[in-house]
Amino acid sequence: MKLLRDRFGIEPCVVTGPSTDNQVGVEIITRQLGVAACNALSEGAALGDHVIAALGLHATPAQ
Amino acid sequence: MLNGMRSVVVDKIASVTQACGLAHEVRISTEIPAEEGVVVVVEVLSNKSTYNTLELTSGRMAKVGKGDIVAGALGHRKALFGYSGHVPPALQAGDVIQMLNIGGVLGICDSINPDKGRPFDCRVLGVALHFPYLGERIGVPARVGHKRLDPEAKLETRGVPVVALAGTCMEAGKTAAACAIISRMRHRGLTIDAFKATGVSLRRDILAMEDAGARRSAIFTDLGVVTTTKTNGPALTRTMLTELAAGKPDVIVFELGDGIRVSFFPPTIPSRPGAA
Repeated sequence: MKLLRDRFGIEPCVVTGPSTDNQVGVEIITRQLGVAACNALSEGAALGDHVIAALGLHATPAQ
Repeated sequence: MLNGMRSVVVDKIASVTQACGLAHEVRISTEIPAEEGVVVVVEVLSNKSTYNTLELTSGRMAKVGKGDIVAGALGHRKALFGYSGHVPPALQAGDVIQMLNIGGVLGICDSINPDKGRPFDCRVLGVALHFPYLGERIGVPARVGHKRLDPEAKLETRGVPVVALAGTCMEAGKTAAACAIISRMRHRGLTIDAFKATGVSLRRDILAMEDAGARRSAIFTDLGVVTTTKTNGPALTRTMLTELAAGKPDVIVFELGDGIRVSFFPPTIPSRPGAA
């Protein structure tokens, strides 16, 4: 996060990966880094929905 | 006629050579340009019990063993969880090099990860030839890619939103995340194109993105690059973004190979929100 923000000037919209494998990791990321966190394997749809919303895409409603 | 030109039957054609359209009977020469992207034919000299498969041009993974004749391409690699190696300054038939990844990248191994064991040792038989001149039997060393990369390529995304996935390390789950995002977008009625911008040649990731629902996909290998660097990474990314955006997808999803601390990370990705 720090590298992306400081070195590249990029603001990530969501964090995923092994650090989101359980709720502890998700809460740490959300609270300390100020960015949403979703696990791609267990919450793939939520991850996709979050990216769709962040980009403001005109997608059909989630089923 | 090039020196030592002859035909060999190749058992396994690695995915890195996909654009060359090699048949299983290949004309080879012993005049080998020791350059990244040059397609070489080798004989595998060893057996392995782990990390012993090769991605074929079909996308299938084939087990490799001693005695197999393989067509791959010269390239370098710097992988934390794999092998590191370089392209030798000169290469002759009979030299022994190593298979640095499962996409068929070949070079001199400098360092290994103990989990992967020693890489396959491979004896160089020659450089694969292709015959681009109609009606003439003039063989030219084959190189990977459909076309050459333009280092000055412009970025034109035509307003198509772009999602970039950058990881802290290889095997962090970038492709799994890309596939989850693509799948959800596809289910919600969006058209997605996807590509892999940086890393070492292996089509597995973009094939997974296609399986997840991407309409079109691309990889840097298509532009003649076996392994990306901080020099060519930005131009590769701009080129693939521009080419896929021309097809007017609703969104483009792309993955940056390896970790953001590695030199692969291109500083030219669009400064819009992305997924990390």
